[in-house]
Amino acid sequence: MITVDQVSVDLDGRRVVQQVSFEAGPGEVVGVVGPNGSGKSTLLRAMIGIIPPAAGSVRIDGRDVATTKPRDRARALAAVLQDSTGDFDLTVRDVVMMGRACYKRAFERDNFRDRTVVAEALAAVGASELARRRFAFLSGGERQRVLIARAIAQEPSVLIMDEPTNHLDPRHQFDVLALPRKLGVTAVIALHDLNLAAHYCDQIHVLDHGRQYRSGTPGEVFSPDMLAEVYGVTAAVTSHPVTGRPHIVLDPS
Amino acid sequence: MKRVSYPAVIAFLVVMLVIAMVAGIAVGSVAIEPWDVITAVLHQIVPDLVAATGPEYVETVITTTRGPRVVLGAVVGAGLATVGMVLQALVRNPLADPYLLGVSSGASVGAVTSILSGLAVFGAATTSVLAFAGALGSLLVVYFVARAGGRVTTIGLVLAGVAVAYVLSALTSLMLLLANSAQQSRQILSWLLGGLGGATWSSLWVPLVALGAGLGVLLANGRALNLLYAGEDAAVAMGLDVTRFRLAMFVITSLLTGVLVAVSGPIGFVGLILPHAVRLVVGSDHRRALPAAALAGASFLVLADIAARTVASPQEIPVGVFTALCGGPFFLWLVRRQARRGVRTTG
Repeated sequence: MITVDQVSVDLDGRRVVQQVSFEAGPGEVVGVVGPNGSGKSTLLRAMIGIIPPAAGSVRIDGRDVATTKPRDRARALAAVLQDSTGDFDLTVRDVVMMGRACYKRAFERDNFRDRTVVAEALAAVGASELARRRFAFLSGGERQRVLIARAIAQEPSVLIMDEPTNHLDPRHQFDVLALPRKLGVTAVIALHDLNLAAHYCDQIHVLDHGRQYRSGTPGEVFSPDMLAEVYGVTAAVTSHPVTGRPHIVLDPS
Repeated sequence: MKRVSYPAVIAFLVVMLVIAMVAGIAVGSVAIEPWDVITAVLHQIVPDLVAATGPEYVETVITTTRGPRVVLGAVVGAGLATVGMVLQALVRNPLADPYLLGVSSGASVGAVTSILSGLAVFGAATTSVLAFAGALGSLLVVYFVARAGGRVTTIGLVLAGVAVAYVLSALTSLMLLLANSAQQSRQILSWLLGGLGGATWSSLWVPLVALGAGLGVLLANGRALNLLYAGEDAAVAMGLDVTRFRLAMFVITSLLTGVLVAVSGPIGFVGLILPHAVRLVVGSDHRRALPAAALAGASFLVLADIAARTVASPQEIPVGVFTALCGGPFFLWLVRRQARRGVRTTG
């Protein structure tokens, strides 16, 4: 369970996120949506511990992230961010094995358990056959799945993902977003695709210029007036013919 | 990706190093039979078990001139390759090298200052201490200049490195001109060209201990160094205190560079070529790559030193000139390759 309590974040002296509060209970999947520049990524980075919040606190199972040792935090919370792996020759297994670092001491070698966890993480994202391939030569979609496997290898109770469906085809988008529930982890996911958010998230928080514009279930959050005000688009919200979930149809004119 | 077995690679590199070191002692103005070198060295270590087979002067050559020179070559080569590999992970760029990043120039300024001023605040280690301070200072300047704007790009890094190196070598030249005596300037000049000629057993201890300790600390942090490949934010998410860790690594690499440069002068490109070659064979995992890079660097510099003192014999070419002749073209090839890769990924 992760609690975001009155969190504000500053970047270069400018307040980018203002007093955001929400909670993701055990096994819950929470979506964070909003237009470009609304502060989604910044909020997520503050939750991970990359940027210290200017005010407020983030707690994982009651423990304040700011005062938790980085490696202890990494055992409870893992993140999938936009890929920034450099131009080095790493195998997929090397990359996923990085996720085990927070459990290891100096000079400690990879043991049977580490290898098992890595193999299972790769299997969970359907990437077992990539294990020996070179990470740098994978397609965008394959890379994304490997980075998710790396986060899973940390065996976290909370998973934070920033636009995890980028570069993925529809089949893999569905697989990735269904994964947190399959694994039983709490997830906080920033998403651009509102229909995916409506389908996979229990709770949704809409950010607009760093403020929490609206929060609730997809049915409560998605409405033509919200889309007009926050995104500046005309849209109709219907219900999905198969799933019955809210379905947004944009009107480009 | 299929790789050669790691123990086989290490065994090969150890054998290489032994061959290189024996050759390093055997080759020279007075040639010595390799077998005589081996028996003489073993005789030094276990006098009761092995008798030296060669003429008597062999022992003198080994204990006074070529012996310490070869050991110093191995230590400096191992250290520079190690530092290069760690710097590449720290700045997340395969083009980093202590020489290219201006770290060696910073160390030079420190070392020359100590030669010139005759300062001995830290006793015999003064040159090393000042070289370390210079190395750390220039590394921090280069890193923070290159990082302006948030991320370290190849172009920013190389430009900052070149700029800092220029300023610092101008400073070194200025100090050279201002030297009080001809003897002092000769001392500085010969040191600046980079060479292993001045090696003595007593000057070997500091670099040897620094290399051992440095390599130990780096190997203990091999996993954390791997996390740096993933990028700053991802490394934080995986539990690394990146700011603190990077600072610690800057201090260790500067310390090693400072100590090595203080004894051998700035020797370029060893830290660029060897880490690359090693990664191609054993992969990028530091826990495997660092020991291999150290061994390969040691062999490389010993062999380069043999070449430096024989190709134009009796004239001796400074070994730094020789490594630059090999390394420059290699660097250009790497830049081209990286540029092509960049085009492929963005376009």
